[in-house]
Amino acid sequence: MKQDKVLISIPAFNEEDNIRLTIEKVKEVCKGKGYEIVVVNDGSKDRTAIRAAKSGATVISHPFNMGYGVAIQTGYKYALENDFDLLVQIDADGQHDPKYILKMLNTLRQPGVDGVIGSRFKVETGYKAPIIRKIGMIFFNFLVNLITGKRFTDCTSGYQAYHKKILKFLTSDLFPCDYPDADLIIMLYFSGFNLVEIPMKMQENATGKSMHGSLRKNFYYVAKMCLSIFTIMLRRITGLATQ
Amino acid sequence: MLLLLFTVSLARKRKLRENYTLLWLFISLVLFLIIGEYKMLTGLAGIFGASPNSLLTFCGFVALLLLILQLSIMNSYQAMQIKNLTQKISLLEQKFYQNSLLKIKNKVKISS
Repeated sequence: MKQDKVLISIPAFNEEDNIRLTIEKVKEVCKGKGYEIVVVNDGSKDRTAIRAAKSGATVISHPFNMGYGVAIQTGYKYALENDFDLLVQIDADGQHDPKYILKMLNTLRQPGVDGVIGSRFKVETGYKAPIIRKIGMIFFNFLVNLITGKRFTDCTSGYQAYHKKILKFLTSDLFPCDYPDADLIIMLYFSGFNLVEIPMKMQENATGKSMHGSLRKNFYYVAKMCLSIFTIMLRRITGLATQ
Repeated sequence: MLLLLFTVSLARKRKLRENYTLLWLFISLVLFLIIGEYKMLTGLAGIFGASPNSLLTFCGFVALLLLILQLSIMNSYQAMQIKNLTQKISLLEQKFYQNSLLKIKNKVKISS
């Protein structure tokens, strides 16, 4: 039986303190399986790229910072160009425990499954999000569940795995590069792809850094996400192509 | 008139692309005509029940809004192009680096 060609994609921005450990943990979990690890260095100003390369990862470097969404899409484009069958995407800051990689891949290999999301809230794991972010998560989970009719518990999780057939969609200009979260799930649902969730435990962010750090960014995120979901629904209603 | 001449001058020096030049030329011409044909402006203002000056200000405001909208559309399109180009360059750079490494390894193998 032909073995799946698997890519572990790690988008990174100024993660020189965490990248080596993250790669080592991934290598430990995926020992002997021949998976490739790619780090998408999103214009880091520190030694993220050097440390990633020294740890044995393939490094793709953006000439300047383009944002998280663009970085993960670069990983998808790399996977598509190099004919990978499955892709797992994890964050570089060590919040996503690589021990779930194999479970995500096994779930992805099940017939009819196109994508897997690692959910912090599917079962009680003791994960505590800041109150503002929690409200946002609840609101967008509610919206996604209402629109798709399915039950998602973590629409903002960056711990995801995708089958090759979804990559063509993810590498297109339809991909919402700004903050690919709830709106992406809705787009994938309308495009006929089947996403499932598996429970996982996420580590707390040791540095407290987040791309949703400031209040201004939180408001922008909520406004942008609502607008994005609204335009997706509008396209759906008016019959504009989603794929 | 000054705006018209300035727009043409920018186009001549290649500081303004033709598609933007046309738009500014059109705005300049319309303003020129409206101000030149004051009777027409007065007549139009009468239809809307406004003073000629208010109508002129309002038209100027609408023209600027449309211009900003057009620039936003162009900006969005170009942002997408820049994103795609950046990703293409990054992927090509990685491929080039990988191929160079392979060539060096092969050379070392042959020489040893």
